[in-house]
Order: sequence, then structure tokens, then C-alpha cells
Amino acid sequence: MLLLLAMTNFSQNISDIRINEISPNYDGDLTNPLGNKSPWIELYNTSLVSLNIGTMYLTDDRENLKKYQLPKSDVFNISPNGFLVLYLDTTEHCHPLVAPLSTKTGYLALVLSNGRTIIDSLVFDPSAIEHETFLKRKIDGTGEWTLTKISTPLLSNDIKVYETPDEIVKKLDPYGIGISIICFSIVIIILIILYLAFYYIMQIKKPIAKIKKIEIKKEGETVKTEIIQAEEEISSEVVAAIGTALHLYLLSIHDYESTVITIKKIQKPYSPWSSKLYNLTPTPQRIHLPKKFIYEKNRSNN
Amino acid sequence: MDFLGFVTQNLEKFLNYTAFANMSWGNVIMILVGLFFIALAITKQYEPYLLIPIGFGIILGNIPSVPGLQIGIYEEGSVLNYLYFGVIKGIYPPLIFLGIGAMTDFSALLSNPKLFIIGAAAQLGIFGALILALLFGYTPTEAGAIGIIGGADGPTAIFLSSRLAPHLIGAIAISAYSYMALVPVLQPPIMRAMTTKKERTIRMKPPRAISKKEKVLFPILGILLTTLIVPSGLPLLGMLFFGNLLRESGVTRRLAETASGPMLDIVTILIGLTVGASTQASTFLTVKSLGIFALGALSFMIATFGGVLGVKIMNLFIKKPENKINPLIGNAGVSAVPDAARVSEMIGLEYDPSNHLLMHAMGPNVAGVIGSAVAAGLLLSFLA
Repeated sequence: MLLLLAMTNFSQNISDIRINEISPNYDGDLTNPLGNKSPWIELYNTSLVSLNIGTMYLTDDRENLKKYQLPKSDVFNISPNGFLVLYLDTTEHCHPLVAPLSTKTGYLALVLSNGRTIIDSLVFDPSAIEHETFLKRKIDGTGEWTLTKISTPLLSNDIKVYETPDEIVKKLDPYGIGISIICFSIVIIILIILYLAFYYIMQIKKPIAKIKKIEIKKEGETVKTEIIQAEEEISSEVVAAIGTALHLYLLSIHDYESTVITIKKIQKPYSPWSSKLYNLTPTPQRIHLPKKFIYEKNRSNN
Repeated sequence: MDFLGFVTQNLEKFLNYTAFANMSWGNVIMILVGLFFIALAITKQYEPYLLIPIGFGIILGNIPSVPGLQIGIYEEGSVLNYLYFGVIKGIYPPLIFLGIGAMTDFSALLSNPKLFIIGAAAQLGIFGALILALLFGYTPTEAGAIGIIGGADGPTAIFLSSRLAPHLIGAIAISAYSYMALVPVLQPPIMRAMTTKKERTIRMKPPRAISKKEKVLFPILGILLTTLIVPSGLPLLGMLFFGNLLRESGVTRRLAETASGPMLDIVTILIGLTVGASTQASTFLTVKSLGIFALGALSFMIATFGGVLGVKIMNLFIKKPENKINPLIGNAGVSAVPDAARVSEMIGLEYDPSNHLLMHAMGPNVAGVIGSAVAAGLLLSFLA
């Protein structure tokens, strides 16, 4: 068992590190620890154990495999199936993660600490790689190299980068004509479906047409004709008239008073309408007028 | 620190806390806009149920406060922020649709189902505005939210903009409601320009009576036929048809009355006030907002054009003269209920004083509500 474990550990050693992605002409948002925008390479640990690549060599020169030795440092620990990004900057390299190498030579290699064994290398034409274009393996650590516009530093190359609907519309339909035609057509189709649904419901509810067959004699021959008499639709005026008539009828019913049979003596209370007093001519009465009034009345008569 | 120093320091602190110390010219302008809305609602009675809460909300939102006191609408934990939650999460618009469904009689539409198509034709305004907004440099999601102003439906506009462009919600909502109030001004010139005198005097057949069975079937068939095709329209269409079923079933009178009465009133107050308060000068007074107002007006015009054109095209296929549709009801395809239908009636009476188009125009008007909700659902599924 111990032997088996030892063999497993041996099989998953430092040579399992691979170059996974490079950006020869990087101009994006990512900056190196010194604050500069510089090309970078991504290394990938294909093993299932954590590995430290300190003391290994990185070179951009086929003739000089010991061009730059990575210092001993914990920053070079790569977790199982993990990634590490190393920056290439020939101007400044006072940081362990920044190597004084260039991508302009079109060659990059990762060499074991013995300075002889190349564990992974890459040859490319730097002039053929545009800005914001990246070289990466299709499958992490093992796949073929491919050119891509989407970089995935410290992430799996297999990752699918989803574009937002905003980006998709901007790219594929910048004036929204396609989306407008599709949406408008769907709105019309849905409302036409509603129209048809309720149109046919209306047809089912319509009274069945009366078919009357008549015979017309025309120059000695009898022609059978079908006259279809559909029930006439009642106009709103007629409906209003019927409604009014029903309303009045219901109102007139309300005029009937409830009658009660009783043995109580009918009382006829006094009413001025039935009083004889108001129907008689009143007896003339003498009125005593003041003297002044009598004098003025006589004068006017004269 | 002596006593005098203590008093002076606190007085200075208090003065820094007052709204005057933090007031900007933008706030002053917005407060004047709020007052103008209130004046418009009271004196002219333009959409008072909306303009008063919105106008007052604008005043509330533009009285500046010191950050950290949990007062402003955008400040987490403030009362207004909690109320605003119903707007940004799209809760209020479906509740308003529930009320609209419970108060709307779809008989005018059901008596003449052809009118559904006018409601679809008028949605041209939404997509016309979307294309224009993209041309003017708005992002696709912003353009979608701006386009829905052409649906002439406030709750739908708020619902979609809360999902697609929450930062534009205030400008879009105010633009939609303002132009809904201005329908009598915006629509008639287009209606007159697009119709002949003969077309304007077309008399339509009186609407037939609708049976209860048809009225009950409408919300059930409506929800199935629309949301099975556009499930993203479910929040709005679902509530609209549910409200209508409460009304037409005849057995849930109390629920229908609550949905169309007190509940609708409560949600209208909350949505109006919070949308108004969201128009803080710093977020509202921008070039983008001005563009939204311009595009909103254009979208209403395109919608009116689409509706009237739709009727004219339909008339080409209708053979019997008595079945022809008066193109003056085409404008009602936008869902500004019932203002757009009133405009049809008003213009119709100008050319024939005995030709009442109001009931006919109510058909496309309510079809427009369905059409704009479907369009909102589609834009949501394409752009969200």
C-alpha cells in the first residue's frame, strides 16, 4: 500500500505543470504587481497534489534554457488543478511574479530545476497575434492551442463566458429592428388568436339560421331556391325601449296598495275637504271702517 | 469648551442639517415641477389621482437631507425606501392590474372581437420608440424600458423599467403619466391628418349584448392564450385576468369590490408617491431624462399612427359597408383608458354630432391594455 502511495506521489510531480494560456500583446484591465500592463502567461497544475514551481526556469530563448530562475517562494505554490499567472516585463522585475522575459521572441519554455529538461514549451508568431487576442489551450493543460478574443486568467479555459442580453443585442441587432419586428409580430399574432377565439365563440352562440325552401316557377321550369333567414339582431334602440317598458311595468306594480281585511270600526276623521261649512256662502257682515276711510271713499264717488 | 461654544457648535450642526444648507438648484427646480403637477391636478383636473401623489412625491424626494439619517428614498432603512421596494421589485404594477381587471368591463371588446387587432396595431409606438432610443445611443435595456412608454400604460411602464433600467424609472413613469394626461392634445392632429371626412363619419353597428358565459370565459381563455405564448407577461396579464374573473364570476363580489376599490386606491397612493419621490434632482435632471421625454412624446404619436393605420388596413378587408370600422377609434388602441376613447368620441362628434364612438373605442382601448402587457412581457424575455 505504501509503495502504491509512493508511486502515486511520484507520478504526480513537478513535471505536471503546463503552460495554459498566454497574452502576447496584453492591453486589458489586468495589471502586474508593479502596476504595469504587461504580457502574462498562465500555468496550470494538472496533478491532484499541490506543487511549488520555485527554482524552475522560465525562458524565451531556445539557446538559453536557464534564462530566468524562479525564486524560492510560497507564491509559486499551485493548488491541485489550480492556476498561477506570471507576468513578463523586461523593464521592471523586482517582484517574484514578474519575469524579465519577452513574448517578442515567439518562444516560451518551462524548464525543470536541472536546467536541461523542458517540461512544456510553446512556439508562436507574435506578429500574427493582434491586440486583445489570446493563445490558450482548448482543454486545461492538455488541449490544442487556439486563438481567442476572451481571456480567462486564473480561470479554466473551458469556462463559458456568457454575454448579457445588452451585449448580444448591441452586437447582433444594434438598431433593434430585428427584435422589434419579432416582438411586434408576436403581439399581433397573440391578439389575432384572441380575436379568432372570441369570434368563433360568438358564432356558436348565434341563433341557428332558419332555412326556408321556396319554389319559383320561371318560364315553365321550377327552380328551387333556399332563402336563409337569419334572426335579425335586435338593435340597441329596441333593447332600450323594451328595457324602459319593463321598468315602467315594474314601477306600476308598485302602485298597488296592500289591502287588509279588518273588523275595526271605520273612522272618518274630520277633513276640511268634506266639511259643509266651506261649501256654504258666508253671511254678509257689517264692517266698521274708520272715519277717514269713509270720507275718502265718498269723495271719490262724487 | 464653554457653554457658549457648546451652543454655537450645536446651532451650527443644526444649520448644516437643515434642507436649506443642502439644497441645490436642481432640487428647487424639481420642487417647482412637483408644485406644477399639483396645481395642474387641482385646477385643470388632469389625472388628479396620479398627479397629486406624484407631485407631492417629487416635493418629498427633493427636500435634501443629510445622508445617514435614514430619510431619503435611496437610503437603506428609510420608510420611503421600504415603500419604494414595491416599485423596484415590480410589486405594485401587478396589484394595479388586478384592480384594473376587477373594474373593467370587456363587453365592448367581446361584442366586436375584431377590435383586438387595433389594440395590437397601436403597439407600434413601443417598437418605434425602441428603435429611436437605440439610434440616440441608449443601451438596449434602456431602449426597451423607454419604448414601453408608447404602450401608454403607467403600471406597465413602471414594471418593465424596474426590471430593465431601474435608474430611469422616475423619468419613464413621469413621462408615461404626463403623456397619458396629454392624450387629448397629442392624438387629434394625427387622427385628422390620417383620415378623410368620409371615414370620420362611418357609423358602426351598435355593440351586441354579451352573455355572462362569454364574460366568464374571457379571463380564462385570455390567460391561457396569452401567457402560454408569453409566460414573462404573467405578473401583469395574470393579475389583469384574475381581477376580471373576480368581477365576472358573479360569486366574488366582495373580492372584486376590494380589488377595484380600497386596494387599488392604496397601491395608487404608494406607487404615485414613491415614483414621485424617486425623482431626486441628482438622478432625474440629466440629459437622458430629457431624451426620455422627447422619445415618450414620439412614441405616443407613433402609437396613434399605428392604431389608425391598423383600422384603415382592416377596412380594406371588410367587404360589408355596415361592418366597416371608423378609423377615429384607432387612436384608442393605446391603453390610456379611458382618455384615448374619450378623444375618439370627441373627434367623432365634431364631424357627426349623432355618431357616438365612445363604446366602440372602449374595445381597442382595453385591447391595448392586453397588447401593451404582452409587449412588456416580450421585451422582458428578450432583454432581461
